[in-house]
Amino acid sequence: MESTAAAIEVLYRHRYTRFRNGVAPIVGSYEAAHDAVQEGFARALRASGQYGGRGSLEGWVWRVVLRTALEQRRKDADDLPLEELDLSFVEPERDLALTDAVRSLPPQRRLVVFLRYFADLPYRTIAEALEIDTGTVAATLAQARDALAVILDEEGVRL
Amino acid sequence: MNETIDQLIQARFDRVADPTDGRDWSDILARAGSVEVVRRRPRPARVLVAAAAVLALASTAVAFGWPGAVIDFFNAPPAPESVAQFFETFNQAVPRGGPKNATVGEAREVMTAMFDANSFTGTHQTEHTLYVAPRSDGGFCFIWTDAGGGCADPFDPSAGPSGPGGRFGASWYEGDYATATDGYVRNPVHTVEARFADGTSVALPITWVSAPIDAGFFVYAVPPEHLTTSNALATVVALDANGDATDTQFVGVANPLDRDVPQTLPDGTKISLPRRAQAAEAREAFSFRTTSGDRAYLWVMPRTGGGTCYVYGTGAGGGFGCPSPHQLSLEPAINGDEHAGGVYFAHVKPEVAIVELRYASGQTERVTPVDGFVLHEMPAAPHLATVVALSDTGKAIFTQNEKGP
Repeated sequence: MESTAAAIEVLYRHRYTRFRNGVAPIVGSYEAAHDAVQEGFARALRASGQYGGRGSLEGWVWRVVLRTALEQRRKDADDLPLEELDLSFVEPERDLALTDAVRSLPPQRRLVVFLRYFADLPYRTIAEALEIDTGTVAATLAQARDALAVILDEEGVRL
Repeated sequence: MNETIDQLIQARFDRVADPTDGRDWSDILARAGSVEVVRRRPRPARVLVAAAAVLALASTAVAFGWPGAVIDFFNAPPAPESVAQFFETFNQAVPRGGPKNATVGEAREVMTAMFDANSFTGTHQTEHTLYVAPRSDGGFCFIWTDAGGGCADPFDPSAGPSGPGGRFGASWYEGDYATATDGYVRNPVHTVEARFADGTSVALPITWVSAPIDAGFFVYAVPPEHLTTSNALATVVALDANGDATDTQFVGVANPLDRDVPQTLPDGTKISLPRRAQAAEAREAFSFRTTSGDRAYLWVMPRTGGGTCYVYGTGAGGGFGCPSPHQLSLEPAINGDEHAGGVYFAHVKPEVAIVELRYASGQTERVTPVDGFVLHEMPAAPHLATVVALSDTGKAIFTQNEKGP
């Protein structure tokens, strides 16, 4: 129990920003994302005895945090499943082309993209967090990468 | 090819991500109820090489004349169980590229140091202990308690200098300025220097850890007198035995006023803006619904140091800026563009009284700037051809030709 709790603490200390930025598109603001991450980690800490070592600890904590964020979102919005939420950047004006490129993706693919590039998660952990196949993650990211590459190319960025 | 695209995309995401830190572990403990998490042993202050483990010189270090302290890894104090679990976390929370396999049971204590890793002000130095664990593949993982850590792949002389298998890795803790830096080196790096914006530098003590680690570790608490724009830590440089710089990590020094911080507009909107943008004083110059139902808005606010900052959104995008008066003086009378969704945005100079939008169809619209800005929804299929700046006497003072349809 204590060792898992310690591991959760170090995970939090190392990756707080990535958790917050990865969750922000779900809940709509960095402030709400902070709250979701705090509550999610608190739940993970309380339930650390339930982590049985199957799969990575990070993937397990991500599931808890994503579930918490989804609950928070549902307080304010439609009762939609995670894969149907209209996810987008909190501050789209930061990069209009990138925003357009991500919005061109189907909603269920956007979360994979956010978890990859905001949360810096490996395919395996994304798969664990979303409870989907690693192959699905890889295929989704390949398609997303192609779409984003087209946008970057149109901007004149050399690839 | 894919890696390059991936890196470009990652860089774009990094640019839009909110870099501010809001970690608060005590809040999580409070929410979770009282859970004892990690016990840390009290240690004396300052960088203390674990005394029992310091040998005169160890074999690897002797081979290339290592000038600093050397620790015999297997004689170093074993890490306590709670710390060993940190390395288990590395195994479980590997960033990219597969399992790292830190040999948890072999984690050893290397040294302790005082530095500010958490307040980012440089004023709250606390004690941190470095533990290192070998990996089964020949690499290693390390962690500074209550701070940060990482893993290094097996040393590959042909790898880039600062890649996972490279000879030099440095990171830093940063608020407005870097408050501390730490990292590792491998042969043939001989010396590490912290170099400051004012041109001064200081050599950093390196503690070498013998096989199976075969790497040197350094940490440096930036002194308070080096926490200003003119003399902050600017680079961390690795040098070879000849004193030649081989690798440089650029910390980057920015004016704190130009750093983005979370701000709140008067309507409660949270947004990251440069600190010099006085968001509390912002005024909404434009606010309207587009025909597609999106809200278009433009806020202007005073800029510390003179000038105006702005932020706008069109539903399909937006932008922000904080040009200095000098930068503004270099701009044309109209600096604008049309956005997806058919909204035209422009920043105009004070002498511009009217902005005339001329479309390819022959249609013309006139828009009056507000506080030096224009935000205007164009007609459907607008094909904007030309934008003309008119003075208060109706004289054309600037013409901007737009791209065709």
